[in-house]
Amino acid sequence: MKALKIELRRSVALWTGGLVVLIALGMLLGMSGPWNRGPDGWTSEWTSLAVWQRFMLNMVWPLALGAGAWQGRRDRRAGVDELMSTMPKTAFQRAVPPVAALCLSAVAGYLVIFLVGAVQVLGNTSYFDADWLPVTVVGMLSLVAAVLIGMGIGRVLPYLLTAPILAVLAFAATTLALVATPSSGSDIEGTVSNEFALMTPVLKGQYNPFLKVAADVSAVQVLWFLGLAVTGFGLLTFIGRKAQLLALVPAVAAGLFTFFLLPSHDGVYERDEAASALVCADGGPRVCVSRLHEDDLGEYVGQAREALTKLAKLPGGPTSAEEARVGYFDVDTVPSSGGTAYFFTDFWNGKDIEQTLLAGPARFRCENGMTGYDKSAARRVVVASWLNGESKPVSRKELTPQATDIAGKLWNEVRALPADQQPARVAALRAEARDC
Amino acid sequence: MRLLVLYARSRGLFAAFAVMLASTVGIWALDNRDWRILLLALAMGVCAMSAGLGSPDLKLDRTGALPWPLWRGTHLVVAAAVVCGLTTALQMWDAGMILRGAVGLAGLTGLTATVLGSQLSWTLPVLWTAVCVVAGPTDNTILTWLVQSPESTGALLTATALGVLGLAAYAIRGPRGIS
Repeated sequence: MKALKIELRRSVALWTGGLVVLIALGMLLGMSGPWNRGPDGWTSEWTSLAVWQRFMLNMVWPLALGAGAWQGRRDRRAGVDELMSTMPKTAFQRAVPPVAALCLSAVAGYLVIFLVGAVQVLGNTSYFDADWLPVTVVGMLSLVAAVLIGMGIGRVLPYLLTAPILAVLAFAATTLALVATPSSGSDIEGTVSNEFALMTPVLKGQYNPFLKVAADVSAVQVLWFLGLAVTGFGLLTFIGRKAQLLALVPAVAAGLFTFFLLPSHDGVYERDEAASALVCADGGPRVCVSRLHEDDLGEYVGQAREALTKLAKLPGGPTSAEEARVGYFDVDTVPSSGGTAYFFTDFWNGKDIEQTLLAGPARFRCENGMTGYDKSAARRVVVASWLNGESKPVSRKELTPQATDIAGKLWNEVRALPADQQPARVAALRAEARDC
Repeated sequence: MRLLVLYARSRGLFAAFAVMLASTVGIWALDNRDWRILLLALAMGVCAMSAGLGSPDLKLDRTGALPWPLWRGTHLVVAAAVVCGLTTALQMWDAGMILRGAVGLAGLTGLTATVLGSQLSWTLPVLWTAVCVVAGPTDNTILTWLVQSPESTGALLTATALGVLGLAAYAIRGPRGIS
């Protein structure tokens, strides 16, 4: 205990823990990024918190590795390696205090970030499940593994350049894992494989709160980081080159195993059925939201029922409203006709759900670019304006001149029809409103 | 000449240069023009550079009858030039951006060496580079100066300020632990 206290005071442990908190909270609170913009912002619910915390390991994990390497080379660098080995304690016993100090400090830093987020999550949602717990645990384990493997390498290669080079290489690895996997959409996508990305601890938010991290991926990652940690501790305590080679066995074995066990494609996230189950309001017509957003149901019921009343004018129009439980990039998969109208409860589509219910969600991606968007926007405006009983097409968002043009023509066309044929025409427009 | 070789050996400059060369070859092998890779190249460069900013015995050095501020200043300038030259030689990125990055980061390394000592002088440059990589080009041209376009005034001023301050601080005061 006394040794641990001394190590905490005299090693880089406290600095490391402090920097972990400073860097991660600085990014999360001080900068604007996908972590506080999307429907899965880091304080919106538990899984998002866990995943964005793993995202922050992009900078924090290399830091822990570098700090470990820095710490691990201390004895050799100070020339007291031989002196220390004369202590009446085994190498194992001697290694424990510095290892414990650095690991405790790094994990405590991670916990502090978690607590800061957790307080806000508690204020934002009453939905709770335990699927996020493995994600956070793997995050902490990865920090322990980084510290240990860093200390091991630092002891075996006690050079001045070991710590900085390890830190930069680890940072390169975590960054590539985030931006260079296949189908990541960046300029350098496909540089590294999905398996490689999952062997680093970083995860990225998916702009979709209805996903969770697959439990088997977390399990395999636990195996890999345990292997790394054991190897690190071995490198730190074993004496002699042969023994140190032996210490590499756990990491190599775990690495091989995990590389073949990890999903090569799209297996990281799976749909969170519990969070996306429907909760419906009392009375009719039927209005439902996901269990995840159950708290907001009351806020939407009024608007949704008003929209459904207006939609009743259409032949075969929707008679119930549901939250579309898809991610931001999958908006186009939401059906635009049928007995159910869909709405969103997130940041981009706004809290004003009536427009979305009346004309369907806005098109996200059009193969033919702006012409497609304009056509879709014009149809949506005409449908919503007709249902609202406006005297001309009214749009909340400003339309492009082309879209205004198309909307005007469509509007005149609909208005020129006899009153009893108009609903059928508008229903047809609504069904194709989101075609490009 | 002999003095130069002895100086280089005492600072581990040959090893540092080998590391820089190896990292340049690695970057060349990656063959990718993404700006993140440029930042990685620069970060590796300043890491390698940082080791040479101190010596095994600074106080012993000090007894030598040499104009040390001049030596230290030249050392930092040459190190920045080598990082810049090696990265430019790849012909993968805008030369102005590389020069700006190398000058700013070398200055920051020198500045950190005077405050934290040469052994930790890599920490702040690497941290700042990492912040730039993660944040990407934002409106805050000072915070993300490394990834701004070559025309950005704020980034140029930040790099120049870091370069001049770092050079002055390192040349005049020397790394921490010298006195």
